[in-house]
Formats: sequence, C-alpha cells, structure tokens
Amino acid sequence: MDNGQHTACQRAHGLKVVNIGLQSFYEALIAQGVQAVQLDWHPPVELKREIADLLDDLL
Amino acid sequence: MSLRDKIEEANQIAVGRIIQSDPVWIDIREAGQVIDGLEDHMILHSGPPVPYADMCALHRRGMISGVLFEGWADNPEEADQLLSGGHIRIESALDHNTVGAGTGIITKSVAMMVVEDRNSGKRAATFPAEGPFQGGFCGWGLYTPEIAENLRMMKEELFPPLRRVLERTGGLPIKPILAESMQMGDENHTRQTAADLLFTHKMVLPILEEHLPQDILLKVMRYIVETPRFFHCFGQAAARSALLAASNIPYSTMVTAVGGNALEYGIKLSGTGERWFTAPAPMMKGRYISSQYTEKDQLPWIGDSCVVECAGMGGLAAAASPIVCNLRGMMLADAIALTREMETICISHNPNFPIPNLDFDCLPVGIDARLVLKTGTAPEIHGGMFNKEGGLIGAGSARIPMECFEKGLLAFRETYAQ
Repeated sequence: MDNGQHTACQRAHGLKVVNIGLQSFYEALIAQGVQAVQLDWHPPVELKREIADLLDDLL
Repeated sequence: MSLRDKIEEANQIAVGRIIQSDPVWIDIREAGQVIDGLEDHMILHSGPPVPYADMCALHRRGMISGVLFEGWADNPEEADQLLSGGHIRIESALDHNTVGAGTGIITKSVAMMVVEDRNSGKRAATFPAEGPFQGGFCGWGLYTPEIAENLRMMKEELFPPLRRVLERTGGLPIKPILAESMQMGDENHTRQTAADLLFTHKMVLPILEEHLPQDILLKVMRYIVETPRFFHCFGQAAARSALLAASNIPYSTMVTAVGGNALEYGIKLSGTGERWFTAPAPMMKGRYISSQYTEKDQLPWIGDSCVVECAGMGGLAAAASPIVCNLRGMMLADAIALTREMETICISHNPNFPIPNLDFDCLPVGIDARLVLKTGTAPEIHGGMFNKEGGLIGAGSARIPMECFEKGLLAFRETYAQ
C-alpha cells in the first residue's frame, strides 16, 4: 500500500495514537489525519545521590 | 509534626503573604530616608554581595558614578581610590528593603518610589526610570552632568506634585493594575505596556486636580507618558514588599529573593533567612536589538528585577504575555506551556491573577526549592541583556542555576535537621 492508502486504512480501523515524547512525531501523525494525543512526558530527573537523599528528608 | 509537615505548613504561610499582599504606592523619598541601613558613604548594587575589586566593569563604573553623584570625590580617579581603599561601604540591594534592577546603583540621595504592603506593613523602595535616560544612573550605572541634572529635576520638580497627589488620595493601589495588565498582555517584567496605560489612566485626574502651572504639568505628564516601562519600578516594589513579608518564616523552602551581579547569581530561601546561595551567573537567550550583537557581547545575568518572578510575574506569567515570548521565537502554545511548566515548581496559584490564555486559570506563585530539584525544572526569569561595555542590547530569558537550589536546601537541612 502507498502512504495515502495506509492512512486511509488506519482511519478505517479507528487507530488512535498516544504519542509519548517527541512533539514532531505527534505533529506528523496529525498532518496525516491520524487521531493522536501528545503526552507531555520526559525521563525522570537523575538526581545526585546527595540531593536524592536530601529530598527524601524534605519532600 | 514531621519535618515535611512543618515545611508544608510554613510554605502555605509564606505564599499566603504574597497572595494576600496589598501593595500601595504611598510616597516618594530619598533612599537614605526609606531604605533600612542605607547610610552616608554607602552604595548598594544588584545581585549577591561582591567586593569592588572583583566587580564586573559595569558595576565598577556604577560605583564610581555613585561616588561622583553624591559628591564624595571630584573625579573618577579619586572615586576609584576611595572605593579601592575601602572608604565606601558596598552592600547588596537585596540585603535591604529595595531592588537593584540592572546595575542597581543606589545611594542615599536618589529619589525612590515607596510601596507599602498594607497587609503586612512591610515597605519597599525602588528607583524609577530616568525619563529620556531610561536606566541612567541607577539601572545602568552611568553618570554625566546631564544625567545628574535630570535626576535633580525629577526630584525637585516632578516628584513634589506626585507626592501631594499621594498624600491627598491616600496612595495608589498597585495590585489592581498588575492584575488587569496581565489580562492585557503584560507579564510585568519585560513588558509593562498595559500597566503604563492603566497607571496613567488612574493618575491623570488626580494630577490635574493639583492645578499645576502649565509648564510643570507638561513636564510631569511627559515624564509619565514618554518614559518606557515606567511602571516597572512599582511592580518590583510590590513584589519586594510582599516577599519581605514572606521572608524569615521558619521551615519555609520558598524562594524570597533572586538576583545576579554578572559573576554570580544568588537566591534566598524564606526558612534560611538572609543567607545567599550562589552559582555562576547564567547567560540569556533572546533577541538582540541589532544584528551586530551576539552572545559574545552579552554580560552574564546582572540585576535583581527578577524578584518579580518570585512573586509570580515575569517568566512565571509567560502565558499572560505571548508577545514577550514571541520575541524569542515562541508561539502562544509555547508561552502557555511555559507557565504550565512553572506550575510544577510552585506552591500555589494566585487567585488575584486569572489569565485569559489559561482559560482563566490563575498564575502559579511561590517557587518551592524542593520542587525545583525534584522536577529538574529551574525557574524561568525574563530580563534585559547588557553589553559588557554597558547599555541594553536586547531582551530574553534565562533559567536560575540549579546549583543555587542545591546549596540552599543543603543549608536548610543543616539548619532544621533534628
């Protein structure tokens, strides 16, 4: 199938996408008529051990 | 009560001091009369404390300007000798009840706008823009006979009628102007277009009721109407008076003061009092006024006007001012996302500041140092970019260095650990 037929096929099957991460992936899906939502997510913050321990005490 | 519970309770008290503040412009006085601890032969500056010998060129120039302005020396060489010899006391503006915007050069004879938080009784004094000279002496550290004459004219001709208006009317409430202006496109750090108009709207009739001679009336109105970002000093004073009320609350991890001196950027936390926590001053990203300028011309962050961010304006209010964000190439959605991001590091929302672009959600307020470290999200601060040789070369934003918050909370735990 070419790209247009593939998209039509997705729509026909009601494909819905939750995009996690790169905004441009979400925008590309929308541009191709795919139902999508963007989940605002980023990897957990990597804390220095000293700071992680600190936050365990305070938060 | 656990340490966490004490912190949560203290933070609610601290942020409540900001939310419940009622700043009112009540007076115009010389700095020596209204800034606690500002004495003769003393000069204040922006950012954390820094000795004269270590200062950036802009601050050194400002110090010399301060000495000349007060008449403590007859020429720059003598002024430099006085300063180098330790005969002039030099302190941080944020260690007093004032704000050092830009270079933040404040001496005893400068006329200051006095704002009182009617809720707490705390007063803060900030220097006004200098008409056609804009930053001039206080904000840019410049001293020329023309700048000195302009400061004299402001103090002796423009401000007495305005003081009479304040005495007669009981003062001008500042919060309604802040609230309405942030619904009209201002974030009250780098943009005060609406606030300037609202201020003028509220003041024009009381000024006319003074029945001033025509030439003085024109001078006063020209100063108010033609000075860019005229209202900025009132936003800073309102923020500072509320933050003074929110300072020194035991167990609070809320940020109560922020500022840079081009070498270091520092913060204070409510629960650790007047201690500074510093890191190398950050560079800004933004738009330069001319293509001849690049980052290599830019001075690292200098100035305290970012105290308005501590009170929930400026960078935290990006959603209110997509125009400011667009200067950096951002669109409306980005400006909204920025404020939403700032929500994740704040204690509460300010019910006084509902914003149309947020579907009338209220702006976040009260930066919690713990949340900054937990989320890895540093507060966004708006401001002006300075040339290393002096003068404003653009506007943009930066993030407060994470190191400040690490140092602050480590000291906090040392203070309060059982």
